[in-house]
Amino acid sequence: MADPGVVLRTAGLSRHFGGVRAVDSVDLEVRAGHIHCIIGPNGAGKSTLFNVISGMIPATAGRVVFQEETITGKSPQAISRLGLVRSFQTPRVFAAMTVLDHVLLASRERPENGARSREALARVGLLERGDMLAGDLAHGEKKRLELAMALAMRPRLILLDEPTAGMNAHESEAIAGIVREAASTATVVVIEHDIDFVRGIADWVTVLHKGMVLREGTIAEIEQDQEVRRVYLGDIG
Amino acid sequence: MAAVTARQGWARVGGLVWNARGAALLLIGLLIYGRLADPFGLFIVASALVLSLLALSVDLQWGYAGILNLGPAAYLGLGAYTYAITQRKITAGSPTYLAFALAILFGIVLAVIVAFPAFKARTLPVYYALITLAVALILQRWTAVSYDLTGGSNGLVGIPLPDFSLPGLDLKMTTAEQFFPLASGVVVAAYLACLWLTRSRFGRLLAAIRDDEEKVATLGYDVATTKLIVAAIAGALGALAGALYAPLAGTAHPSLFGIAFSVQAYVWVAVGGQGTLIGPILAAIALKLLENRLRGVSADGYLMLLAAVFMLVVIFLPKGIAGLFDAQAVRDRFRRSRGGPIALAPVLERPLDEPHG
Amino acid sequence: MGHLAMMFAAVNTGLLLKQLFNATSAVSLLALVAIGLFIIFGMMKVINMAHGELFMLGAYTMWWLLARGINFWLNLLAAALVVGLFGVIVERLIVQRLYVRGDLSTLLATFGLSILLQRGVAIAFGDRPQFVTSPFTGGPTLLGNTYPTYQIIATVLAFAVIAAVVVLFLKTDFGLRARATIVNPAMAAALAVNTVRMNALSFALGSALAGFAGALAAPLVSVVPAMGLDWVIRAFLVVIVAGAGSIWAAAGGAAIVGGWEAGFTAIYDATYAQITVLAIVWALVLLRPRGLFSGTGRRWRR
Repeated sequence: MADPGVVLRTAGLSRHFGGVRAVDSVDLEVRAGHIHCIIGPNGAGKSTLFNVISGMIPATAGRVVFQEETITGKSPQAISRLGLVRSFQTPRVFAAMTVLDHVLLASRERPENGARSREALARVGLLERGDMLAGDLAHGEKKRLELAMALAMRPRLILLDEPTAGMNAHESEAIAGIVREAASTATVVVIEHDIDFVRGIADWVTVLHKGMVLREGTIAEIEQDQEVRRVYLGDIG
Repeated sequence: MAAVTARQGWARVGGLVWNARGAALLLIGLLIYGRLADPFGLFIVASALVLSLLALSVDLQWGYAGILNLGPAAYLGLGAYTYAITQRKITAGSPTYLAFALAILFGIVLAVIVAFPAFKARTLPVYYALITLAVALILQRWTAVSYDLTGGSNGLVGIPLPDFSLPGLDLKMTTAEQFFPLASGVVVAAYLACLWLTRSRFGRLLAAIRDDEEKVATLGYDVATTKLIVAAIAGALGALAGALYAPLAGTAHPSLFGIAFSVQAYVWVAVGGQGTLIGPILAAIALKLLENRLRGVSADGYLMLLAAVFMLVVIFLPKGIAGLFDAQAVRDRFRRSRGGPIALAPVLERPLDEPHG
Repeated sequence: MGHLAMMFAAVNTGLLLKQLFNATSAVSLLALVAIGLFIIFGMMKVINMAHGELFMLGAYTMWWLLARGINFWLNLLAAALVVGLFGVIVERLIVQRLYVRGDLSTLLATFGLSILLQRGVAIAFGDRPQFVTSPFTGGPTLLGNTYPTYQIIATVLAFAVIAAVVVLFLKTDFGLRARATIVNPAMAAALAVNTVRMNALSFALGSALAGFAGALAAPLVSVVPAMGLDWVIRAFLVVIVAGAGSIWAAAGGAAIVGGWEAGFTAIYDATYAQITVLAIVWALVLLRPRGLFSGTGRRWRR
């Protein structure tokens, strides 16, 4: 029953808004150390899924189990303390605080001995920007800052919501490198639209459509799948 | 936001940089004033300083932490009445330590009790804003009808001056003039304490909560408890202001809970520069001296003027006078103030319930 | 408890009926104001802190027009229009401009506006209560108590307007779009609902209701510049009690809040009535932050 290789599991997870089933009975298994990508057309329920898993909105039905502990219904704060952290599609940073302050906040370190914080900034390539106000960062840099904050928390599982949105190929490749490297110490679940990016990093792919799991498999299997191609209707490059 | 950053620990007010050294400057300025001014001038500035503690309380809770309490005068009145009643009925003739301690304690208790459901349940800011408004109003009404305890609508008079005597050391205040050095010392100390707080890791947390408390929660912090602590500190400061104001003014009156004192505190914060901590104190002194000049204007007229100034500052100068020195921010304000489809922005920025991607 | 029982034993049915009638009047007026606030709050998740002053302006409009000999019933309409228009102006000039900032500026600016209006009216007309003559004097007696004709009519009229608003909300196209915007503004906008216009209209409607209520209440309550503060607080407490449910929730909340306050005041004291209402709401936010009637369990969120 309890599979030590599975770090996150959802069972029949659903989230309804009135008549709309944003997430419809999703069964998900994320294996430890994997980079698990979630793809699907717009409106498929991917971000909502993240919101439910991370506790930001309550589930209408089903369970979320993280490291053998049921976390459905727990607050975002509690879930975060258990080691499940997330980033947002639109990066959420604190405009009037410096970049370094953000990571210090995440790592709980003092400025004097902020080794872990500086390391996280270095990993995402923002160390030189440490004293800049976050509000002055470019969009891509803000996303990297969020990633640094997540890393600084030494998480077991990271949920990344479209980490490469709005980035060019070069930046995306850099992010891919960071994600691969992050996966050495944590499990990463990534929502993405950029199939090239997914192809480069994914150990496992789940395709979501209309809130339900359509297909699961390796990226190679997914790309060949007729159903998936039909649903995307040319969205895949 | 305000011209402060969490780590810098300074504020730009009036084109000058203020930090702990600024506190020294303030103290020196006050000492000089203390030498030169007449007793009435001393009284005005002492009043301003005491009430500036309430402004400091508002600046910490709202200006810095972004928590809107529309009834800060509740603490003022509570502190004043607690001091007066304690000193008259419990420790009459004795040093006023207990009176001050109880005032501060009650301020903290009121703050935490009122805030607890609103913060715990993660309600919208308007809840806390309105409930605090209601509490101040209720306290005003209740003190006005409770004649036996609070003197009813006449309030209490003949309030004993502070007495910090220790065994063998007589530190009883004998004249109202001695209020000036006391108020100066307390305000500078309070300012330094608040400055220290905002420079600490706790201060960094507060700044983050102000900007995006939901995000802070996803970083594993207990936002509700943090906000409760801020409310408690604000309550303590406000009650201290009241406990000092009662003996200074010589009376504790239901109007201390009133809108006039609450608005005044907000005007001082808005004009002085929210989040700057020193700005509201300076604004308090400046505006109280100015108010003294405008003796002819009616109380209503003055309140209307304050309200108008407040509205103008909120709409056009969110950073207060300090913001005038930040030309870029002012330009940004005017550029973004054009309504239209951006009206959706605050809703779309927080895509939680809405089915998205 | 024994005290209460004794009071009830001593009180005769006639008096009880009269208290019930007074409570119903109070609830009807409160529901008018609360529904207006509910619509605005539901739409924009902020309130106009000067909403109570809109009520006050409605009352003063009635007094001012009546003093110039204009027909009472026309004045009701005039108050609704004038205050509704004023609400639109406030929304255009202040709320729209500040709403985009996504911070607390709207609450603060309207807080300032509330004081500006209060003191402005005080300067113009003084702080003492203005007397507004009701169009009818006296009324039918029942079981030894007089029921003022005007109070009866005002209550009926209030309920009629409430019913009209409910019908507007539940049965019309506008109401559908309004409800859609309240539930999910982003979705509504995507479905081509002009959210900006919807906000303005709901502001106008909510303000007009407040103004109308003030004018209607003018002969029944004390018309002073500070009269609005109580009403905006009560109305918002109704919104808290009701929760984010349907418009019936607002009506239900008004019945609870208004009923309790009226009842408690009749038995004991107005100030303690308000204290207990606040205490009840305090407990409610703690135990059921979603409100009592939010059927879907939805809580007010941004």
